[in-house]
Amino acid sequence: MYLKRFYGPPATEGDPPRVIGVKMLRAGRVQHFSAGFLDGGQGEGWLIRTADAVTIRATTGPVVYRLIRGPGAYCCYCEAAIPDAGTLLEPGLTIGRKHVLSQHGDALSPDPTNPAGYRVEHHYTGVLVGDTVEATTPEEAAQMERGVRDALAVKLRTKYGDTRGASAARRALKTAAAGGEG
Amino acid sequence: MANIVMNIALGRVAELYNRVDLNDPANSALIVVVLATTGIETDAVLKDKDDLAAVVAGTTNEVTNAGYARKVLTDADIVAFAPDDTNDRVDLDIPDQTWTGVAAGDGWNDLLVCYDSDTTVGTDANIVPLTQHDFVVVPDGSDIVAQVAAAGFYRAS
Repeated sequence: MYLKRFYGPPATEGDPPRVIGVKMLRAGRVQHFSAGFLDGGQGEGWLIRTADAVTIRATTGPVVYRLIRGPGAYCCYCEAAIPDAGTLLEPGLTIGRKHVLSQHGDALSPDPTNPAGYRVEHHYTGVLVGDTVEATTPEEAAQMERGVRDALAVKLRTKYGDTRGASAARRALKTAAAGGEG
Repeated sequence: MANIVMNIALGRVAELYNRVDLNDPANSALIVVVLATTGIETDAVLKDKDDLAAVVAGTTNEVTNAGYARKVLTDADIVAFAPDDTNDRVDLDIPDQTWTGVAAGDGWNDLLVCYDSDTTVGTDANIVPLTQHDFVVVPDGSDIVAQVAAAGFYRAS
């Protein structure tokens, strides 16, 4: 996302100029919003957030993202939310890992960047729907976002293979090239 | 903010970040890599490395803990490229990152934020290291969170 902020005179003399609006120069199909970004936009008056949407009131018209997910931990296989996923149940076993092992076995994680099979997101995930949130259903938006993630996963698998052992394999190659020292 | 900026990235970080946000070239991304404590070279040595393959070519290694993989940040992860015209600068931000269920093994020492022009092909020799950040952690099987400063990981001014 590429935003251009417009500034007006400060509310009080001596204060910095205040943001009076934004122009949307580029809006991606899927966007991750940090809490700080949402709070900042709301505070400056150019962003409206509801339970299911973020509307950026750009000078060129509203740009609406349907929110499909909030911060939290999610299973990479079944997309279930996993509360307290990072809590250690015993040495080496988190609640999230226990969910993965009990529900999905030790199969390769669908997400190459999260080999443990669950992921933690620190952002709100939005899908661009145009100028009104009614332009798409929550299911359609979720499917679109999943498609984008799956496409990235395919690319990464093509490049890195099984990321569970990728860095170890790279180091083994390096050690071998150095004649076993390394 | 960055502890060090690699020499190869001086004057380029904001534009390479913008490239990812633009999706130009398609499939470009920021890559977050973790370096191991054992064998880590000095900042002065690492600062001169021009690609990721060179960073780990000496005694420095990428970590190999089970549960670790490189993080790949695409245009969706870049919240907003928005120059600050009041303060005449650009802060570059990325979301906090969590590695889940990272097993014991290598100690973690530093994070590298890198630029990969194509996540579908190429090797580490095609990945440009941008900034390096202290990140000392001893994995024990739990999740590891890298919390990025509110102002972001890099400031161009």
